[in-house]
Amino acid sequence: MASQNAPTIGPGANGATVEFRKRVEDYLALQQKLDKSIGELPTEASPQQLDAHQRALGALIQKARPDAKVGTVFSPEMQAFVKQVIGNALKGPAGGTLRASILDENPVNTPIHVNGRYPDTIPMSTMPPDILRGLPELPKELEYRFVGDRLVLLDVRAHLIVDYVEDAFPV
Amino acid sequence: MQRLKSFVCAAFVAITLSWSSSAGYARQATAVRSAQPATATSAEQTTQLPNRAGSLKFAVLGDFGTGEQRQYQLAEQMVKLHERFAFDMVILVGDNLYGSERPQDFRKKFETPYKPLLDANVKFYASLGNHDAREQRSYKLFNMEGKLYYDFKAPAQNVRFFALESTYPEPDQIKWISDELKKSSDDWKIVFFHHPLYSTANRHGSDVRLRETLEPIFVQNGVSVVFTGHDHVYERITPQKNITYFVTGSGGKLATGDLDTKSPIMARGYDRDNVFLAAEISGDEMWFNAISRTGETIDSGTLKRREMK
Repeated sequence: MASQNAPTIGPGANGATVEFRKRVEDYLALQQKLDKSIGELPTEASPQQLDAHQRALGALIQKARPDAKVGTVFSPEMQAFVKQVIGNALKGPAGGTLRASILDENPVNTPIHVNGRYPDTIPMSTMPPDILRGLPELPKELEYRFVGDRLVLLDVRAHLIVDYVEDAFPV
Repeated sequence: MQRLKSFVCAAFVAITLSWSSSAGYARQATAVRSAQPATATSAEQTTQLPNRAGSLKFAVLGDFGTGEQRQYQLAEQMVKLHERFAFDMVILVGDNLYGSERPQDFRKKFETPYKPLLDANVKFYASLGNHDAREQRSYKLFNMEGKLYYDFKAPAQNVRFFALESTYPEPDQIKWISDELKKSSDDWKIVFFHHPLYSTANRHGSDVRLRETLEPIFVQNGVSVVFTGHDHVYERITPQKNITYFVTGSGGKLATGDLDTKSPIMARGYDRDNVFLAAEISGDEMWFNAISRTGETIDSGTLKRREMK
C-alpha cells in the first residue's frame, strides 16, 4: 500500500513542529521497513489477513521500540504546541461544542501505554476539523486521536499508540 | 393480485414530501398531491417502490454490527425484500462492527446475517464510523479498496456515490470531496458517511462543526442526498438548502425515545424499532422506503434530484 508523503508543516511552524516532523519520519521509516518484512496487506483482504497483519506488525514494532515512552515523538516543546492549538480551539465561540464532540463516546479514564495496543474496548474519538487544521499534517499511516484528555499519535496499520500528550486539554 | 391488494393507487408526486403509514413522528411538508397505498399487517412486508427495469436499486444500513438478534431480524427483512426488489448494492454508513474485530466477529456481525445477499452478489460499500477499526478499509467485502474515502459510479442510472470518513475530517479529505464533486457531471451525487450533519436525536445530534465544513461544499456542487448514521434512530430531515438528509443509524443498535419530536427540521422520525432504507432511482426521481424489523414501511416518499443552474 502506497504511503503518504512525509508530513508537511502545519500552521504555526516552528522548531517544535520541525523536530516533530523528523521524529514522525523516523517512526514511519521503521513502520514501513517492518511492514515490508511481513508482506503488504492486500486491499481486498480477508478478516484473517487483516487481523494477522495488524498483530504481526504491532508485535514487530513493539519489539523494535522497547524504550519508547511519553515524549519519544512529542517533545516537551511539541506537547506545549499541541496544548496551545487545542486550547485556542476550545477558547473560541464553539469551544463548548468542540469539547462535547471530543468527549462524545470518549471515556476519560481508559489506561493507555506508549507502544501498547490502542484499547479494543473503546471507539475512536471523532477529531474536530478545527483541531486537525491546526496540527501538523501526518502521513496516512498515522492519525491523531483523543483517548480521554490525552492526544494520541495512533499507528493505524498496527493499531498501536506511538506516543501521546498527557492532559492535552482540561476535562 | 398481491399488488392490487396492497396498493390503492399508484400516483406519486415529484416534490419532496412526507407521510407516515404507521405510528411515528411526522411533519407534513408543503402540501402535495400524494397517494397513500394501503398497508398490510406488520407480518407482511409491503413496499411502495416502483421496481422498474433498469432503475438503480439500493439499500442503506447503519450502526448494525452487533451480532445480536435484532440485527439478524432486520437482515431477514432485507433478504425478504431482495426476493421481490433485487437491489444491487447496500450503502453502509458506519459502525459496521461493534466491539472486537477478530475474524469470528466479521462472521457473526456481518458475513452471517447478510450471507443470502452476499451470495446473491449484492455489493456492500462501507464508510467507517467511530466504532470501526481503520483496517476495515482493506476488508474485501466492504469494497473500499484500501481507502478511507472514495467514490464510485452506480451500476445503473447516472448516479455517483461518495463515501467519506467523518471521524477524521482532515484537510486532504475535505479538498478531495470538494474536487471530486466539482469534477462530477453525474445527475445524482449522493454522499454517505457516519456523523449526521442534521439530526434531532438527543444522544449525539447534529454535528455542527462538520456541517460548517461540509455543507457549503455539498450545496455548491449539486449534492442531492446525504445518508448518515451515528444516532441510533431513523430520521428524514426536511430539505436543508435543497439537500435531503437521512439518518439511518438503527440497523442493529436502537435508541428508543431519542428523537426530538418537536424539532422543526424533522420530516419523519422513527425510534421504536430497527430500520433499513430501500431506495430506487430512475431518471430524476428517487423513491425511498424505510422498513422496520417487523417488515413495516414506516416512511416512504419520492424526491427529485437537484439541478444545478
